[in-house]
Amino acid sequence: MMDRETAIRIFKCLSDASRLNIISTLQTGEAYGELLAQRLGLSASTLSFHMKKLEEAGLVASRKEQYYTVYTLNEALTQMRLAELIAGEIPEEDEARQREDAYRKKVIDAFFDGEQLKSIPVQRKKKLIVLEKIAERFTPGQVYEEAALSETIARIHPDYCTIRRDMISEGILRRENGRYVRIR
Amino acid sequence: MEDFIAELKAQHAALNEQAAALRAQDKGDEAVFCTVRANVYDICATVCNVHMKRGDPAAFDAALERFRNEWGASLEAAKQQDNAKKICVEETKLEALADVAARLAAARGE
Repeated sequence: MMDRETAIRIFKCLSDASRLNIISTLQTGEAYGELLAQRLGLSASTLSFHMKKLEEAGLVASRKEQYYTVYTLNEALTQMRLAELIAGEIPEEDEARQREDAYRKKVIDAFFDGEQLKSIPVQRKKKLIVLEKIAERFTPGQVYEEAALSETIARIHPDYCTIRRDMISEGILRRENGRYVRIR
Repeated sequence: MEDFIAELKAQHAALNEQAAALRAQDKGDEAVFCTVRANVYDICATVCNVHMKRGDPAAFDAALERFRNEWGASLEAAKQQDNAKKICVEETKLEALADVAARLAAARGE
């Protein structure tokens, strides 16, 4: 079964009239690059660009014959039915989680210098990751006095008021009578 | 030289029309290369015009040489990186530049 990335690369490659013309020509048999360029009214460099794209997508193969390049269609791929191409594997949940974890790590590495937060991200998705990282300092369900909570946050970044407020608005902390509880 | 500049401008306009036609035919990559080619004529017309107004036509030859060297270096870098699109763009620019140089020579009666 074909993976999604390969299928997308093939569809992207095919969404060009000249490349479809090249495939159509190669369906009648292998051809020299020069001949293809001449038949399709393309310059040598333009044809070379299209052939590179087709080769990258696995639709075409090439071989050298003295000074010339001969192109052949990958019939195993071009004779596949559309349904077979579409029925690729849907990425597993684990893969999605791995991607999410990698993104989290990238954001944390970019915004933290050791224990210190370098700046508060502007983008909400990144800010949420940073706030969740800070929240790891607090035990869920435990009640914290405002001074203790603020002091812990201030050790990470001087603007503890903004961070505390954002943690409440993002549903990470809940404020009850001047005390704070981590709720997620 | 005014005729030469007008010729470059006409070439720029014609290629832009051709790029629009290619785009309409779903030949997106070729439309990009055509626009790149058109831009070379536009740049050369503008630079030539500036040097003519300054009364320094030789400076235009120096500018063409500088473009040739810079784009040639970009082409080599693209080949090293095996970047097919960039290779095609740089080759297109150099082809158009060679055509500009040939037109210039013809305009000077060389």
